[in-house]
Amino acid sequence: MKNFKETANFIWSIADLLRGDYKQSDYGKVILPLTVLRRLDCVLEGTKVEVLKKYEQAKTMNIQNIDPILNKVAGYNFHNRSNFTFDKLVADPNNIAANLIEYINGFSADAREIIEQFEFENQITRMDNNNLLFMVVKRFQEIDLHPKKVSSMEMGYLFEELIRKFAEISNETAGEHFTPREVIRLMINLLFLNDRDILTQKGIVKTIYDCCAGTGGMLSVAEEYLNELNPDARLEVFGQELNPESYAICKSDMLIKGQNPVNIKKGNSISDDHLSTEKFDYLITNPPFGVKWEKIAKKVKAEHEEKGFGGRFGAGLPSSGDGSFLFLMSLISKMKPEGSRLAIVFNGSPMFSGSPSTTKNESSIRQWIIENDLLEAIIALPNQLFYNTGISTYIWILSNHKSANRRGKVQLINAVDFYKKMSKSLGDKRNELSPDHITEITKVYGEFLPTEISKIFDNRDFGYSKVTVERPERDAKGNIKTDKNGKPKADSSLRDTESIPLKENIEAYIKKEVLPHVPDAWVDETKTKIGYEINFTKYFYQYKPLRSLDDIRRDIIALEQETLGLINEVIA
Amino acid sequence: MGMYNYKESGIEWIGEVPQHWILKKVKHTTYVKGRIGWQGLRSEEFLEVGDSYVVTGTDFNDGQINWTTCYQITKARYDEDPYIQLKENDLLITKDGTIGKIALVKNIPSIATLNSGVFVTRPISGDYITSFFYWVLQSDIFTSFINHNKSGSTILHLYQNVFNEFKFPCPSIPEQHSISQYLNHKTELIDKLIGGKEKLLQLLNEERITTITQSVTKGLNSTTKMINSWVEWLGEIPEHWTVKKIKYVANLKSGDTITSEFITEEGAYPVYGGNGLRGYYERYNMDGDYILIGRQGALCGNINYASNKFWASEHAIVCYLNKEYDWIWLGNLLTVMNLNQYSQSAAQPGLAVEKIKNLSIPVPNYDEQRRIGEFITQECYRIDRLMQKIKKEVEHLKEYKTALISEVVTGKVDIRDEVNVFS
Repeated sequence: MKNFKETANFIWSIADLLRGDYKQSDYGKVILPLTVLRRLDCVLEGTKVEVLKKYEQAKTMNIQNIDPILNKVAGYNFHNRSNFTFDKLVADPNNIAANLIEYINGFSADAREIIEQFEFENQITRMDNNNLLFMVVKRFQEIDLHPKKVSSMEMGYLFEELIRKFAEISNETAGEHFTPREVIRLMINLLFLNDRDILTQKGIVKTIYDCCAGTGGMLSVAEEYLNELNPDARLEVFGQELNPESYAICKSDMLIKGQNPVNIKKGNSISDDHLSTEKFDYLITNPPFGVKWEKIAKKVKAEHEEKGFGGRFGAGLPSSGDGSFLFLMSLISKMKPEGSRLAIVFNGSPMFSGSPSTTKNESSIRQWIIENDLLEAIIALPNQLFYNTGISTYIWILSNHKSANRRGKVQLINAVDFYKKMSKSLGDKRNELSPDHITEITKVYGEFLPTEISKIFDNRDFGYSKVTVERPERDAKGNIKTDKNGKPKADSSLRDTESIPLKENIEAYIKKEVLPHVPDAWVDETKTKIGYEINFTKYFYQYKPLRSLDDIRRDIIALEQETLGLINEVIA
Repeated sequence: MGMYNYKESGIEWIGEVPQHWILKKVKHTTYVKGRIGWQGLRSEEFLEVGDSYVVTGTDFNDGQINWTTCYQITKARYDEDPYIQLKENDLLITKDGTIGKIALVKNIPSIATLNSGVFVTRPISGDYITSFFYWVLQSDIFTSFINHNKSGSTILHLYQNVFNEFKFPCPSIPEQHSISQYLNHKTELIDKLIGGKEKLLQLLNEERITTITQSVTKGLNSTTKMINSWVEWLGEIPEHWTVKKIKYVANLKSGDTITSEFITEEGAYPVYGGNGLRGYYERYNMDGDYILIGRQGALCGNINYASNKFWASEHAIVCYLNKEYDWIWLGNLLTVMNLNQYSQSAAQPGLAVEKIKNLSIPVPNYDEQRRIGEFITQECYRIDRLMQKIKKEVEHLKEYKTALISEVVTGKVDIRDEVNVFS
């Protein structure tokens, strides 16, 4: 399948049959589960006869747990033991509903659970009542989704395209952003770089986890990519996903690939963490940006307050309007003590949101991450790289086992110019990273050298003291009012703050930057707070000096003379 | 020029400043207020005639406030927030949208207050005078400061806590007076000069049009005997010319439909629509020299030329010239005829090919057509070259103005002696 978009369009066009009987926004409820079913059907096609044979044998032998046996025959972690296939279903139009249900029930437990996520039985009844079921199933039977024709990466694209259409048509707010494959590849490159074990050792097994797994794009690419780099290594993938349809698609993909389907969990990984005791070698995710988390606030706050650093959110809680940091903290809690690496996609705000205050907020989370030497690098990506957002995005790379030369340091990479225009845009995606761009960015990261697009900072460079500067209250005559200890009373209306980099001496700064302008000011040290922020734009800002007046004058005079000559020529 | 001694300011975009100048931050020198929220102010409350003006960034015009475009509100609304009631000589700065636009409050017709999106500032410390600060904010040091402080978000705001930290040089007050006087004078001169050049560009354009029109309707020889063409828009034409309908000179046909999906940014052959190049496509449907007429949209009737292999889209009408007709001559003639006037407005304005085909045009013989075409090409080349130079010069003048303001407000140019000349 060269053009997954075309195939997706074709599959989507089957929904035309539903017109009139279904709202457009409900098309996905039919199209998605049938696509999954048809894919599973095609996957099992080759071994179906043997599975049925074995099943007949097994029945006579009264074996307790025949699932593993049949899986083995099927060659996957699942099988279907009913007599039906899509081919057989369409051969009996009159009993299509009953047969389809029997077919679905013939799947082994994990596969059946996947179909259940779509609540598909309701749709079977509904379509059957409207005489649509046969026509729709027939159309799906005509599509060949055999793995030989459609690789699992293409299948991933196909599902994402279908889900995108579904979201578009039902006007869902675009909270979930699919991650373009090349961005995932870049992230995986950055994660695996310098990890000699996984790249070279035979038979090594490592684990990777995505807390917002979606349809499993990141996990799939990670696995495929590792296979390319070291065919003798194995990556076990783990994920949790909130959206039932995405979860189901992710899990079916894992089933087909031979991953353990139990590793894919359903639910909100923040409020309902199903892998709370697990640790992983690699952590990767592209969480929804700016997502409100009021609905789960009670649980999250309880974990923050009661468990402190014993839980995931000890460092602080982000504002209720943007839960991005919750995902990062959750992932950090799953790093192995002996060393893990983490890559996460963020928009700009986690770098600077929240000002230091007495409550633990974004600034304290950054402080905790940076002071614990977890932040290794931030890479600014080109814009218009994602399918449904044009905003600026950044990859954060974290490690709890930095190499010696990176200790105490953070590398910022400005890769905003590393893109090529796509010949055709996909949603909001107009730009893409070419393999060369990925190689180049990875190289800049690996070399860890200061260049025009790579800056290296000390952890402390991002820290600052937010210092409160007070000035005295004066009476009508201009005399300073004092408190009972004879100290000047502060006038709260004149209160000001100064942000002083941690590396600068506060006293010297005040002497130089404040006292010359407000000589009666003093610092109330009890109010001083420490904050951390990363002003990405500032560090890469390049001041372009204006040309000198002389240079411009010379140009103007030369042009003036030329034009004079030309005017004479024109008017002559 | 005078002789300042310089010191390093410590700020990249300010560079060195005269030894005796001091650097000040906005928060230590300036009263800065904005409208907090909307205070419930709704757009329905904007009146054509009310008690108080309410100023927005869109009312800023050339550093002044255009009071006639300001909305008005009631006195009660004006009274609500005394902090943002405007006084003569206040300096206003836009903080949302196009940030950093400046206007000086002068000649308030009655009373006035701020709308959202704008700061009002006035000096409170005696370190500067407003007319000097006006030029500081117009200069590149303020632009650079804003660009340096852009945060990662896509919507740009100038937050007050950011603006508060803006550091700028303060010379002595007499020097500030000189500087503002000098810059008022100099920039006025530069603006006048630019205005003159722009006027010149208009004239050249007029000359260009007239040259083309004359050539294609009256010929190149002014002594030729003229006769009535009996075509209204055409008037008299040379005696030896004929009048023909376009359809006898060229066949007009729409290009071929192409879905935008197939048009790529790079590719084998250019795709031309009604408005020039649209992109590229792997196939072509035309090969040769053709005139294309825009068929649809507000700009229909536009004339473009295309050569070699290309794809003409359905938005273009292609002229297939009969033998013994020159395409440059006809293209210019069609331009002069302003085909847009024949557009019919359905859902979208467009040209009917039938209508265009039946328009009458003046036709010299082939040889004269070619001479006319060559003459026009030559003349336009000269005029265009001159216009390009003048446009370049205007750009340089604008650049000069920007550089001058920055150099003067940072003391790189000492104007103390010069001011006496014109004060």
